[in-house]
Amino acid sequence: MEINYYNDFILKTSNDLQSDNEIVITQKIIKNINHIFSLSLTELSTQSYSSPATIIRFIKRLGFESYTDFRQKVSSSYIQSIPNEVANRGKSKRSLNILKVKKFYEEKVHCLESTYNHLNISALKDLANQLVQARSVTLLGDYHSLEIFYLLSITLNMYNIPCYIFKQKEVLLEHLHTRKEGDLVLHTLSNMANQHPYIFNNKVAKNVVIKVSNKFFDYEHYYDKVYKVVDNEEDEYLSLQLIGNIIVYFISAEILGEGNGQTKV
Amino acid sequence: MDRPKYNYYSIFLELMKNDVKSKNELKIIQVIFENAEILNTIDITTLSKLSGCSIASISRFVKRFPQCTYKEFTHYFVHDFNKHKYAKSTHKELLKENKVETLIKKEYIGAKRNLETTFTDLDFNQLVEVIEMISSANSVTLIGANHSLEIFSKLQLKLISHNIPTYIFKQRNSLEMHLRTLNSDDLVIFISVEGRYQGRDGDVIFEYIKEIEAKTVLFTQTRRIETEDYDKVIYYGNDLDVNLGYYSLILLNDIIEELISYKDF
Repeated sequence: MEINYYNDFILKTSNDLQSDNEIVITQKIIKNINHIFSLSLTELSTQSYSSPATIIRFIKRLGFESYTDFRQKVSSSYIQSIPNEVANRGKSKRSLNILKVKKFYEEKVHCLESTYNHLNISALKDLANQLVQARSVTLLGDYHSLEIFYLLSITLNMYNIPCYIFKQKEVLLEHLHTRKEGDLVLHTLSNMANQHPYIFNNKVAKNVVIKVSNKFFDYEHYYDKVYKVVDNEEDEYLSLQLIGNIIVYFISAEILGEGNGQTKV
Repeated sequence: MDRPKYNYYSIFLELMKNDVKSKNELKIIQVIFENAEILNTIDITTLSKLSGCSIASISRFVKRFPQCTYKEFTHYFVHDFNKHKYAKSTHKELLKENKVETLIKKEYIGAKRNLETTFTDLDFNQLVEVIEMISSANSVTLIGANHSLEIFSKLQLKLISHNIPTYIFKQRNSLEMHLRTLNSDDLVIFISVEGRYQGRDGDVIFEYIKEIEAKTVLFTQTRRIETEDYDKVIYYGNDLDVNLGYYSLILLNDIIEELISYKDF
């Protein structure tokens, strides 16, 4: 899978800046993003009141080899991401009428219905059982899926099962090296196994993935166990949001038991 | 002296997730997290031994929490951790009367209801006016809980690709530093369930933004707020559906993204 360096840069800088200089450099890069390819290191240095050495340190910390490497990769990804919205050109925003909004709404409702109707209850129960038996749980995933599973993490913490979320990559890797037998690593979305194979090649803990889409079937060999908690083609965060919230109920039921189902919905 | 108003357990979780500064901090965090319930019985020397870090390193870590010594930190931390565990009784009550499948169905119906309210209550003209504000702003800054910001990170990428510098800074220090560079030509969008930015020192941040006269928009689920505090207010979801609002924010993000793509600005 090709990395989108522009998206990656924006997401990393939203989550992990380490100094005032890095904030100002980020602001200036975003302001100049449409001509980043021609923005020299000296110009950026002048605009951001930071030395070239500071900029290069920052760029390298983000995973680029040099400033040239950075501007080439980010510029090229950015150009690809510039929208080609020919269909909408010249149209007024008011022409996005209520029918189009209704279509968006209906798509979301369909996604929820499809997810709900295809839930694999026995897999969800198995997964919850495995989670509550772990000594600790570490969550892997992209930033959005980690936020969705935050509720799951605080629920596990509530039952004295430490559940770690680290968004900083270096910290996560360092943490993974300290995991032992009995510690569980739960991966919540598809693309990370492909983008970060070193996590899986160096694994010291038991890895488990929650499957929410058929699209990452090819990567199942990275994991000790894959739970196909939903058997549909939906690959939306909306679907994951529902799944993340309902796993919480299975975890509580594993620990506290469940009632007789007399209450009406 | 009264205890500070902060929730030390929540601050700890946020630091762990987004802002671990060194390998030593990681070791300290791991030991604290895995002894959360009894941390107030572990003195600084014992924590130093368990983590393999110096007492000075632990003191530096504790300084990241406002207004406390090591002893106060461990006391407040355990108190806030235990307070958080009271949620267990809510789960217990729910599970006493319901089967898990019933709770899942409730979650699903609640999510659909939340989307439906967003769709039926959406003031389209008001939303178009917000888009006009976005397109004429010098820059756009999004402020809110991390989960909401993750949903709107797609919008951030879209706006930047339309040459509208758009910023999300999840680390508190980065956000504060960034806000100091804004003025009345900039737009700040708050995404807040309860109608106000609920982060640490949220009121101070809000007052500062009003002081510099930056334009403000609020996306909120709460209907009972002082709307005159903001230039525009967009409502989504239902008043009482705190965790269900994320479903609607995904819908709202998609609608705004589509509106932005209409090139009449």
